[in-house]
Amino acid sequence: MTRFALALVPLLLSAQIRFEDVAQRAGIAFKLNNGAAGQAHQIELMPGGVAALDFNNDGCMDIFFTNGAMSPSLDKSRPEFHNRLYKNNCDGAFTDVTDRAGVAGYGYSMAVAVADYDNDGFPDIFVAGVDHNILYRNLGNGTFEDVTRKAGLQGIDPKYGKMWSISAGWFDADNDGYLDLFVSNYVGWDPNTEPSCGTPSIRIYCHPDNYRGRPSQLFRNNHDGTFTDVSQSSGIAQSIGKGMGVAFGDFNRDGLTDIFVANDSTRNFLFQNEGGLHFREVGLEMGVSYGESGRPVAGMGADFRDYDNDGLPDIVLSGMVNDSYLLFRNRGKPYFFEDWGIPSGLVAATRQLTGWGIGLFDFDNDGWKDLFSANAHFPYMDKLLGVSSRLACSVFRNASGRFRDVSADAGQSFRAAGYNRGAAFADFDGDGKVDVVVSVLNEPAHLFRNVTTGAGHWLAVKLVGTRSNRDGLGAELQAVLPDGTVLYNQATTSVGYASSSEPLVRFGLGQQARLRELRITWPGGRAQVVRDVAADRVVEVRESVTGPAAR
Amino acid sequence: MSGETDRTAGAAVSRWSRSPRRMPPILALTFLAAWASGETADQLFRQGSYAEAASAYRQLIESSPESADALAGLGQCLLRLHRANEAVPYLGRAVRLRPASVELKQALARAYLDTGDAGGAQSAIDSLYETDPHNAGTLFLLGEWMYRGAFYERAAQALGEALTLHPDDPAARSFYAVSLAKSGHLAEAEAACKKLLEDRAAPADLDVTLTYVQLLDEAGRAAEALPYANAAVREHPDNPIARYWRARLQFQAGRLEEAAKDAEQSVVLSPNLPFARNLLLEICRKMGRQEEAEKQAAWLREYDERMAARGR
Repeated sequence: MTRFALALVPLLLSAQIRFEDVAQRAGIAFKLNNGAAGQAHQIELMPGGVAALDFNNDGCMDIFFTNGAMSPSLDKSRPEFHNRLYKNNCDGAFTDVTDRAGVAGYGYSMAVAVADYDNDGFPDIFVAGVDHNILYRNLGNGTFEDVTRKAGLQGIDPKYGKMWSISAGWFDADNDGYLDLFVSNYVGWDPNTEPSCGTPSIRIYCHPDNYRGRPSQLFRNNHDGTFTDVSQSSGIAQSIGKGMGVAFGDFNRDGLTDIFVANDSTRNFLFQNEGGLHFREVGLEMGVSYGESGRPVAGMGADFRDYDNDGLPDIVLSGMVNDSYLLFRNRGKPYFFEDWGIPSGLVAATRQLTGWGIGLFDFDNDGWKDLFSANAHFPYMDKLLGVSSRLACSVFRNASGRFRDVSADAGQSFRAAGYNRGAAFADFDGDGKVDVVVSVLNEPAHLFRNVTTGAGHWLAVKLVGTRSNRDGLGAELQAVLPDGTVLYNQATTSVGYASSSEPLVRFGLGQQARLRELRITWPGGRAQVVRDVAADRVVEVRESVTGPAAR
Repeated sequence: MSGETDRTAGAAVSRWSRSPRRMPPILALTFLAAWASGETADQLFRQGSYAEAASAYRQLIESSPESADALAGLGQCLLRLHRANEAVPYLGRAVRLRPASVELKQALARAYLDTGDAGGAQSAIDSLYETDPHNAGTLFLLGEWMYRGAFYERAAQALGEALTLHPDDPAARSFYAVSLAKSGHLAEAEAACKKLLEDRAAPADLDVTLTYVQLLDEAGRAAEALPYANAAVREHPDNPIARYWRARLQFQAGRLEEAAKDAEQSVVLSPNLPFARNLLLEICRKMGRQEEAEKQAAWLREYDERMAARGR
């Protein structure tokens, strides 16, 4: 097979993907505040994550924004630095319910990871930050309880203390039915000893080479509301990186969820889950540490899912200008990943971008997952790059495995430039098309409503785990269409950069209005099949306790 | 760029043509000696005898430590002798004595660039650019500075403007072509590279050849790129980057044995090239040469740990 030949399944004629920024109209006034005061402290570059979650289980996706603090004091007391929770009123408008919910936070927040860690049916919120992590337990009545200390998730490492955490994600590391927590840490940072770059009159942000890397952390869920730090015993702590985005997938189909970490200017990590809560870093052996160029990229956001409908999860990550984004196509045994940046068209399309939030979602519901990227160069680079550091977001349409940048025609408000950061993906208005919320540094956030006309049919699956974790995270789904075409997706909230997306598993079905079968492989391998499923709706699938083991 | 180009030729080497006018006899004799030495030094410089010219300028400096011309001349000689570190203080003193001289400032900026002194280069080039943003020499320095910092868009802008003033400068054309490619102006870059490669008057710069190879490869035209990679290896058999690129193209074409040979040779020629090691690792993975793949992975891990340990 040549590098350009993919199994092609045209489901729909081309529709132009279009977005409209409705944040203001929807009442979302959030502005991500990094607290910068001209001294270029490194932490100011990196906020902030955003989450799509249905915290009150009303079927409408709400939004949680992380926020910065004063820099470098990390004082978050002023309201403009509070993290914010916006409730979706299910009528196109949102209401700020931060104070009532009790989630304004403390410290310099970076990332958010949402999932139901205690299996009570309500999504909980983990906030990762520079000086504090916070675990908010959803009490189910519109309020949250800060259970960080009780849960043991302050994130204090015996060697490094509290590390600067950039991303986090929930997954079931040991398939015991309870979600564990992975935290990606960046570099050692101390405002008192921080290197200074630029000139005395003009301070600029330093290259990450000026800082030492840190290990990631893994916390095992003890089923009783507490967690145990297993970073050392699991093997995770042995790999020192400069961790950014985190994504999960089972690359080798052994029923155990593996972890991908995009590192900034050092090689990426792929932690292969060997079972028994032990991981081995195999990025080099599996071909995802570097792209074909062999150079480390400034990895930012990552997504780990099947982009080419071959049933194997692939990995995409955003990078910095001149890096080009990386796409690693999973070819299965024995070599697994291959740099697919050139054949997919992504290398040429992204060379001039610096991307943060990223996600593989089927925006036109044609059966192929497209790529969204929230972009911005670093603030001081205008003069050096010869172009503005403020960039618009990008959307790349996946046409049978090749990406084409269709941003220019994606709508006027979509082309607004800014310092875009985290992005979360969900269908906020219930029309079956995936929308995107984007945090923007020191400017109002975007809520990009997907207004694509001529999009295809769709199906969203809400999983309810009974033996598995309640959200079904880690489950793999196959949508079998009447003509036998099979589409693949998986349940995860850990998508992109520092952010958390809806837990629903979505399929774009093109012209097909029904599924012949919906096949679900729950974490651990138990299989379940739902037959003859009508499209254009959210279908809830409760895990059967009698299903056969599939693997 | 692999080609060496005299960027500062003509700068500050002929200030000796003033005739000794009426002055006291002793002073006149000293001046005559200096004048004669200066003429000799300049002549040696013009002949390309930089080491000898440098000696002559040093003698002049001994007798006239504040002679901007002698300081400049010595600085220029040292630059041409690839001793930019030593050139910096002489050129710096010359600039202080003659602050209005654009040529001297450009020579100093060149010296900073060649020594890798980022702060010095930035400051010198900023000052030149503020004085005259349309000077070809300054634009070239700015372009090269941006190029070295991997700010290719800005490099292409500056070099493009420089080339409108001096369209035939071979080094500027090469930097420009590569900058266009790296900044994503693919069609323009391809045309610029192709023109340079087809220009028989000036032998193609290896960087340009390999940039063209990369351009074609990234456009999915690896087969078209291979003859250029072959030519690069033929002309520069001991260049590890040329070997690397040919290995990469062979790898993509599925010619794993040939790819392995070139990648191995690249690693032999330059054992500390991580990307060549990574390519060899990828090739070995595909060939099932597990032991060799693990060896390269181990090297890369160790290299990466070294890199990660840098910083504070």
